[in-house]
Amino acid sequence: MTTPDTRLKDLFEAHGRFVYRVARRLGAPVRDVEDLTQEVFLVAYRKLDEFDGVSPRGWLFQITSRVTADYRKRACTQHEVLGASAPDERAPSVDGQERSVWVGQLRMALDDALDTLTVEQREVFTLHELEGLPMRECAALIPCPEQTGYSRVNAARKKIRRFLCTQSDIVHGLSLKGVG
Amino acid sequence: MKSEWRKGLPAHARDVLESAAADECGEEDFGRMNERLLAAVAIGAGAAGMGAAAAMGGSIPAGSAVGKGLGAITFKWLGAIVVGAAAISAAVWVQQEAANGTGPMDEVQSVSDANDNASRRLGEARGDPRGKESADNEVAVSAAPREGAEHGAVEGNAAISMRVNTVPRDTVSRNTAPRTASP
Repeated sequence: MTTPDTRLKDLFEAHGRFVYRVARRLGAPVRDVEDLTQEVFLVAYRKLDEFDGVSPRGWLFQITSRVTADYRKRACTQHEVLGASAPDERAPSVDGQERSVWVGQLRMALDDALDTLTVEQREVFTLHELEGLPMRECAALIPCPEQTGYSRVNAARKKIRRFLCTQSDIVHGLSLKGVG
Repeated sequence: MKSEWRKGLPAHARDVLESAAADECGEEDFGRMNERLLAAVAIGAGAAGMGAAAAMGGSIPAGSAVGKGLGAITFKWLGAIVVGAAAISAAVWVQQEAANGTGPMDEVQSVSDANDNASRRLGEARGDPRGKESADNEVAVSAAPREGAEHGAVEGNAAISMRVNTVPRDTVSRNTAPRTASP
């Protein structure tokens, strides 16, 4: 018989990275994404008895969605502590500094692009476009009707395309320098 | 899996979307998160266990998380009780002093009486038939409780003599001249 601790460990090993990525794409900054991932799994640990075991990824996605929504609400009332941590603080190697700067710019542009979406559009876009899940699975995870999912992802694509086209000078300028 | 939509984007936009892969959690980060999670679960389980033991009559070790939690609650409530008791005792003291005729409200009353008397006298000295009312504004500015407040107020206020809003409004000059073009 598996204990709750063992189940949690298995869940984390199987879906920890998924939760990390989704939390990041749903608006958690790099400096807080580990904490939020941990919070998601602590919530999951408390609710393990209620979980039927059918779709762990969908269950974790719903918890992640709620935890990041709470985070965004809290973040509105918190004061930013300047210098506490850099936004994208993974230390680059000396050789790859230029490339690291470029990737950092791209990720910032992606964050800004995702910020133009509504929460619903962002969820579908993250799962379908960035995570590469089929729409049927996305609709089951969120949950929403499949057609609604398509509608949201199309609206999101239009917004993302429009936004990225306005940012072409910045991003394209970087890539023209040959750092890509 | 890349959608057809993504293939139709400009190159820089595709780069932006593909940068999402850079957010993949590294092995080191993943291991650290795993350890933190298990530690948090262990601490939570330990605290819950000690809480249950305490509820059943067991002792809580000094310095434990549960003990600290209970201590925090106790001090919080103790603080609230002390502040509440201080407020109640202050209210009782004021009431007692008022009953004895020596409290702070009596001092305020005596200053007010002194002002009334001073106003009346100033009005009478000027021969103003309205007496007290006309001099109220002048006397009120020296309401400081000090020795000989009654006389001091009269003499002081005769000199102060407030002149506020005594100029009729229609005498205030206004710049109604047409504007000339600046050079």
